Amino acid sequence: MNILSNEIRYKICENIIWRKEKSKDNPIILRNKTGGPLLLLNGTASIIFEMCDGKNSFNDIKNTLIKLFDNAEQTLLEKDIKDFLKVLEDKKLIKKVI
Amino acid sequence: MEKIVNNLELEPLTFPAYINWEITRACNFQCIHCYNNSGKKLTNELSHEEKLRVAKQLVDAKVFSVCLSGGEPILCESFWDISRILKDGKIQSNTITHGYFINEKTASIYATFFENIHLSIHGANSKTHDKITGVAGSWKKAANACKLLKDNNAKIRVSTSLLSYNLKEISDIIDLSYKVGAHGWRGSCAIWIGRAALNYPTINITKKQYNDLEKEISKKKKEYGKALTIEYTFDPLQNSIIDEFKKKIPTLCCISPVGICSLFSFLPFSGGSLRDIKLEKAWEKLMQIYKNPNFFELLNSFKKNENFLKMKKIPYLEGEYFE
Repeated sequence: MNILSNEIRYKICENIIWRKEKSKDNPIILRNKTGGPLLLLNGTASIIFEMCDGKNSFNDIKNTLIKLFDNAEQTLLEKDIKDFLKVLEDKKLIKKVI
Repeated sequence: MEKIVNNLELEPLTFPAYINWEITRACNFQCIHCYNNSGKKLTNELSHEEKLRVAKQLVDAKVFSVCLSGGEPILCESFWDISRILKDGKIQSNTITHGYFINEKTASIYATFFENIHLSIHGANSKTHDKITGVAGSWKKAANACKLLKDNNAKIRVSTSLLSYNLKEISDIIDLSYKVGAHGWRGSCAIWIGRAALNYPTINITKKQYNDLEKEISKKKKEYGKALTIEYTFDPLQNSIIDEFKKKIPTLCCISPVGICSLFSFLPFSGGSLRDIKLEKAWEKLMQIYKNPNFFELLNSFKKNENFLKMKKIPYLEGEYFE
């Protein structure tokens, strides 16, 4: 991932409705307004998803998770985040901010 | 990291994601297949104030969608106020209506408030439809309602109960749905409770008839492709209840006109009344049912829609089911 892509910002697509649950780790449930299944994100996934607010960059997301998992191997963590963002993007849950 | 999407190893949801709210039992129709015996308003229905409180709770709970049904929802005095609260609260709202009271003025309000309007049309002509609803002129009003809603860019889905009375008209009803501008058509067999159970001998469709009908509908599905979404179910019990229980996390809550919260309005499991407790508490109680082995044992006895006919008392006909 180059320096430029580290500055990529994402935002949640307009037709996605979501809410944070009160249970442990505050998982998020979400779905597309036009239909489709209900998706449930675990605590870590929810943090990433919620940070897709059009303001936070990839770097911001990465740094938040580095702080959260201080023992994590950074390269692996970065790859995991990148892969997960791609999943969210492929599922049309988030999109890049241009 | 794909596995963290669809991770179902979670605790039950704090609140339901979807709500089916029967806001009144009042209806000016007497449909022969009505599962909850709609007609007269129940004497103990939630008051206007109580209904508004429930609507606000649904907004606070951030439920994803609410479907307002009945009876005929518009006959509930709180219908527009509830709809407005949900709209203002950014809750996706749908409604089920027979369309009899939709006029030029209300059509635009319906279009504003509801993302999906499910309009019941049970015949390709007034003779059949009016016979099923028991109200002369009801087909004409329903067809006109479709036109008015379409003129206001509402998203309409035509719903048809598959009965012996309209068996030969299903293809024509599908064509009609397309002509009136519906985005979809859904056919469903009746649930054998309420008046439907009473009328079972005359309105039921045989297995052979279902098989023929399935071929006919499949043909229509190919014909219309994406122009009209065609869905059907010959066992609504299987498609709704069993599918919901297959999920690892329950998502649906039904609310009766008197405020009773249940997993399904036609199953005898209640989380209590929203007259007395808040939605969160009622939902929490409903989730406890999932831990009860007796629940699944009883559920198994409901496996087939026809099994309702074997019950000692017909739910909704011989007294209310829960209350």
